This record gives sequence, C-alpha cells and structure tokens, in this order.
Amino acid sequence: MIRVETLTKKFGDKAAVDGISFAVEAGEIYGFLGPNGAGKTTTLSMLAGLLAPDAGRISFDGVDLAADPIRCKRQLGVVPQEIALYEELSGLENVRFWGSLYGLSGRALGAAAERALARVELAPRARDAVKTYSGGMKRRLNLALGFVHSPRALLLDEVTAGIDPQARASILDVVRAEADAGTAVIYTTHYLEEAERLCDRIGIVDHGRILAEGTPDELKAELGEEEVVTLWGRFEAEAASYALAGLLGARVISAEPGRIALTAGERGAAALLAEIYGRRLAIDRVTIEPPSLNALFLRLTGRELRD
Amino acid sequence: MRALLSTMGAMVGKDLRRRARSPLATVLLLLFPLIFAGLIALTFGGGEGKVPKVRLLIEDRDGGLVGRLAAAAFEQGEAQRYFAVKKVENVAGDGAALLEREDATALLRLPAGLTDDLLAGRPATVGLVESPAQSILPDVAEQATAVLAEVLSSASRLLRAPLDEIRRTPAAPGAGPSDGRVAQIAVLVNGAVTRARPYVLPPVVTLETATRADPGAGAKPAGSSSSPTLSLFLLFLPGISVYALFNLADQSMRDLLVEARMKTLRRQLAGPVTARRVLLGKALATAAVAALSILVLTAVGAVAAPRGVSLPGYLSLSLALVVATTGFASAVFGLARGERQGATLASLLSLVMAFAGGSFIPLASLPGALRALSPLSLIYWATRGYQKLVIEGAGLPAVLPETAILTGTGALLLALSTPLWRRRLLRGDLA
Repeated sequence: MIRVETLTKKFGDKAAVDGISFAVEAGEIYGFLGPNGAGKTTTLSMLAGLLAPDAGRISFDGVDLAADPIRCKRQLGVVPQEIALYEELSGLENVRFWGSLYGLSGRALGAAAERALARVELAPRARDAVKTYSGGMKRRLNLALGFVHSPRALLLDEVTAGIDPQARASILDVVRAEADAGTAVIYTTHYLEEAERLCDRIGIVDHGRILAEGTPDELKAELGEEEVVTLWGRFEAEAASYALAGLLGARVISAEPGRIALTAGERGAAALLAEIYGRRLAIDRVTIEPPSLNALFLRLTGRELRD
Repeated sequence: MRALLSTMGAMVGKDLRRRARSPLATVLLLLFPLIFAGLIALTFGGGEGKVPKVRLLIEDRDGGLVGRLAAAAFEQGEAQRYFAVKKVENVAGDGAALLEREDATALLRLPAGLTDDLLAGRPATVGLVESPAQSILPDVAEQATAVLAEVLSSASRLLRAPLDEIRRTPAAPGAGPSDGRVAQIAVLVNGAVTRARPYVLPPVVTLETATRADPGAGAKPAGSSSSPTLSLFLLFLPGISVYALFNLADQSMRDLLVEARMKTLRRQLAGPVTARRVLLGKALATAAVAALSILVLTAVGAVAAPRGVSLPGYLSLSLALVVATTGFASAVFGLARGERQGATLASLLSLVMAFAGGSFIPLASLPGALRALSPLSLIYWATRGYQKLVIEGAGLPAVLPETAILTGTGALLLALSTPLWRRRLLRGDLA
C-alpha cells in the first residue's frame, strides 16, 4: 500500500532523512521508533505531501505522490502530533468540515461523522464546543478527523503524547481497529511499550536512517536471550568499556561517561555483577532488564529513546 | 467544478461559523463606525445653542450708512448664529475695561466719517480690540472683521462711479434725488457689477462646484431639513464604516496565519486540496465577512435615516469594496513575515488610508500633503462613492469610476499576492 524508496531530505548540509526505504501493507501497523530529531516527523511530512523530498519516491497503491498528489492524498488520513482542531466549533462540526474536505457530502458525510465520533467515544459530546473538551477527548477527536473519510492509509504522528494511560489505551484500540479494517498505518512514537503492543513491524530510526527493522520479536531476538545490565557511576566510558568488554562473554551495548550498558554474558547477570564488583569500579546504581526494544535501541543508537 | 464549490462552501462555512462563535471582535469592529460617527455628530452637530458665540461690541462713531451696514452684517443670516452683537457708545480708553466688564470677545470701532471716506475713496481704518481673556473666539472676530473690511474696500473700488454720483447728488432736506438721477445711478451700478461679474462671481461658483464635487469637504448632506446631528452622522458614517471594513478584512485574512499557528492549515494542506484552493477559500471567507458587514451597516444606516439610494450603484460599489478590502488584506498579510507583523502593517496602512481618505477629518481640512495622497487611498475612493450615493443621491453612472478603481486595485492586489501566499504555503513556511 505504502512504498517509500531512498527518501532523502536535507536542511542545509544536514540530512534530516537520509535514504530511508520501507513498505507498509494494507492492514499493517508500521511503527516508526526514534528519539526527537531522528527524522520521523520530516518523513511523515513528506509522506503527507507537505514537504517535497530532495530525492526518493513515495507511492500509495502504486500512485506516485509527486505525480498525482491530490489522488494520493484522497487515500490518506493524517493525524498530526499537535492537536489541530477548531476550538470554537463543536466536535461534530470539526469532523464534518474535515470530511467535506475529502469530498464527503450529504448523508454520507453525516453518517461518516457519526461513525467516526462513535468510534472515539465522543458521540455524547458531539455537539459541544471543542474548547470544553478535556485533553484526552481532544486527542481522540484529533484522531477521528484522520479517519472520518475511511482512508486506505493512515499517518499517525505521536498521537498519544501527553495523555493519561486510559485515554492512551482507548486510542491504541481505535488504531488497531482501523488496521484490522484494512488500513495501512504508519505510527510514530516515543513509547516503546506502545510500539511493542501495537505495531506489526517496527523501524528504528536515528539521524535520518532506519537502523533496524522487523517485528518486535525479530528485533528483540537480535539481542539474543541475554539480560541487559546497565551501570551508573563515576567512571570514564572508555576505561569502563576496556575493563568490562568480554568479561564472562558480556558485550558492551553502549558506553558514555557515568553509564555503561552491556549484555549479561553466558553466566547471567548475577555472575557478571559479582565479577564487576571485583574490578573496583565506582558504581552507584545497577539495573537488570530482560531483552527489550529499549536495550536494542540503546545498542543501535548508543542512547535511550527518550534522551 | 462541483467539488471546488463544495470545498469552498465548506471552508467559508467553517470560517463564518468560527466567527459567529467568537463574535466579540467582529461586533466591536462593526460598532466602531456607528459609535465613532455618532460621537462626532453629537459633539459637533448637537444643539446649536451649545456653540459658543462671539460676543462683539460695536462702537459706531460714524453713524452713517456704511457704519449701520457694517454693524448689521454681524446680525444677519448665518452670522447671527456665531455673533452676539451689542452696540456701545463713548467707549473710554482702549476699551479693555469695557471688554472685561461685558465679558465680550472683541470691540469693533467704526470711526467717525467712515461713510464719507468710503464714498470719497479715501483710506479708512476700522479698529478691533480683542479680549486677552479669551483664546479662540477673538481670532474668529478678527477674521470676520478682516472679511468685512475686504468687502467694504472691494465695494468702494467696484462702485467708484456710482458712489461719485451719489456723493454729487445734492442732499436737500426733505427732497430725494430725482427719478432720472436714481435711474442714472442704477445703470452705473449695474454696469459696474456686470463688468466685475467675470472676476467676482467665478470664485463663488468655483466654491459651490468644489463643494459638490468633494462631498467630504464639508458639504451639507442632502435633506438639509434633517438635524445637524443626523447629517453629520451620515456624513462620517461611510468613511468610518469603510475603514472598519478594511480592519474586518484584515482580521479575516490574518486568520490564515492564525490557522498556521493552530496547525489546522498544515492539516488542510495534507488533505486533497491545493494551496491555491486554501487561499481562495480564505479570500472568499474574507469577502463574505465584508459583505455581511456591509449589509449590517447598511441596515443601521437605513434605520437611522431612510432615504432613497440607487440600489445598482450601492451594490456595485459594495461589491467593489469587498474585492478591494480582500485584495488589500491578502497583499498585506502575504507580504508580512508573521501574524504580528501583518497585523501591525495592516493597522498602520488602514489608518493612513483612513486619514488620507477623509474618514475622520473632512478632506478640505487635511494638510495639503496628506490631501495629495488621498487618491492613493482605497478608503478615499470607497468613501467618495458612498457619499455620492447616500448624500448626493447619485446613481450608478456617478460611482462607476470609484467602482472601477476599487475593483481593479483589489483584483490586482489579489493577483499579486496569490503567488506570495502559494510560495509560502508550498515552501512549508506556514505548515
């Protein structure tokens, strides 16, 4: 459904998106996982036709976005990171306006608006002004505007930012339902647990490149079965790496001043920690995690996702 | 085509609904011309008795024909609205004490022998003593006296020959001049006036013509039977309304930048609409707001002073104004780098256009430099057109030049600003 080939966008000398390629099939949720500045929103802006790529190609259902943007955009629903609503208007008026922009009118528009509002559980407040809605309700309405016209592809940019767990769970259920109805979804997020729970496939992005791609299980498997041990303390990154690399088969995932992360090695985390304490490193805190996307992200990018 | 109309309808409807839900700014801008024109009318047109009069003391030492005519000049016609005359005799000294005692503005002294001097063509001096206790009114008295002296001097020169005849006529007690002498003097007066007509009358005619051609120059509104307050209200209402309409249009066009800030513009551009359609939608919404505002102001004007106005002329001028306000707003905000800069620029330009266009001050009272700029002001042309229609009762042909200038300029500004907006929208500056 969605094809992206060697997509590139530069701002000055800096490549915000550097030759990204991926594909998303109908009914699939593709997670775009990366920290701030990784190139996620720039990629989504190009997919939405808001930004012209410097190189590369985007197509929806075989139709080239650059060649026929209006036809492509008709198949597309976009939900931005920001809450982009008309606060003076009611929820229903907002949904109807966006539906009409996509060519809906008359009864079809009315039915689509009601359906979209019901799906995000806002039907009882449909006629209230948006400015009276809570943050979570606005987020849900923001989402509803993206699929009121039943698009074949949905671009969701950090749609759960800043809301409570209950509202987040509700939004994730809606996104899953849209995908189950056959919509191809690209979902960018900061939240690893969200990506793990929701996405069929995930692309880990940093510095404008996809560093790894696969299902959550495939990605975790790249780390093997080993636990991840992270140490915080007063030590130099290089010295710590030198001291700990290869210790009981451990591999250093990332190292920086005051923090080092490594796989637990062949004898497990407890044996590794006993060995480390013998090395007289000034350690203040230790965490032990099972293999996770966070650990993989750490290994791939050298930093935490929320850094 | 149907899809385009549907999209435009949705965009305009959305903007009008938003405006209706937050009507304060629009209502204030619509009330502004009514309140402002009303205040001007109440201040300057209400109650003639409130206009302070020049209290003029006249000491007529001449006692002859000219002295009596001069004194009477301040008590007749329009002059009696502005002058309260009191005749005094045997004023001691320079008259300052009398001025203070009478709380008068000035003392006009007509010297003895004034009539004889004028009849003989000899120079004569009229004295005016002004009260130091008052500020503006003595100036009025001085200017009026200067006019009087000028009139007397001109009459003396113009009527030289008949005056000589009058002087030569023997003034026998109880016996007037013969019919033959009267006829001879009348012929001489008629001849003098006829010869002077080309030089004396044209300025008067020119003044009349200038007043008619330039309604903003203090012309009295048609239907002079209405009260001065209402006449002034109607005189100022068009200009101030036009100024308010420009502000309303600015506000509507500014909404494109507000939508950029709200990120709803970005969302629209992610939909299946081109940047040009988004811009057209906003321009149409701006035009709709301006048109609705004109309807409201027209309704208020019609209630305040129902009068026959040429409907074709009114409609064509109003449509032209809608195009002009939309084009102006589009150009200003298309050029501005941001919302705040655009708002400042629009306010400034509108205000200059309003002053130069005579919205607040009649054109005749403007400094020459500002008056020279008037034709560059869109507000000038719109105000002039409405004043022609409402005050002079003119029809469509009379306002065709104004209609053409407003439409042409508005369309040109729209055409010039469209690429600016489009470039900004496509470059992602606003999205």
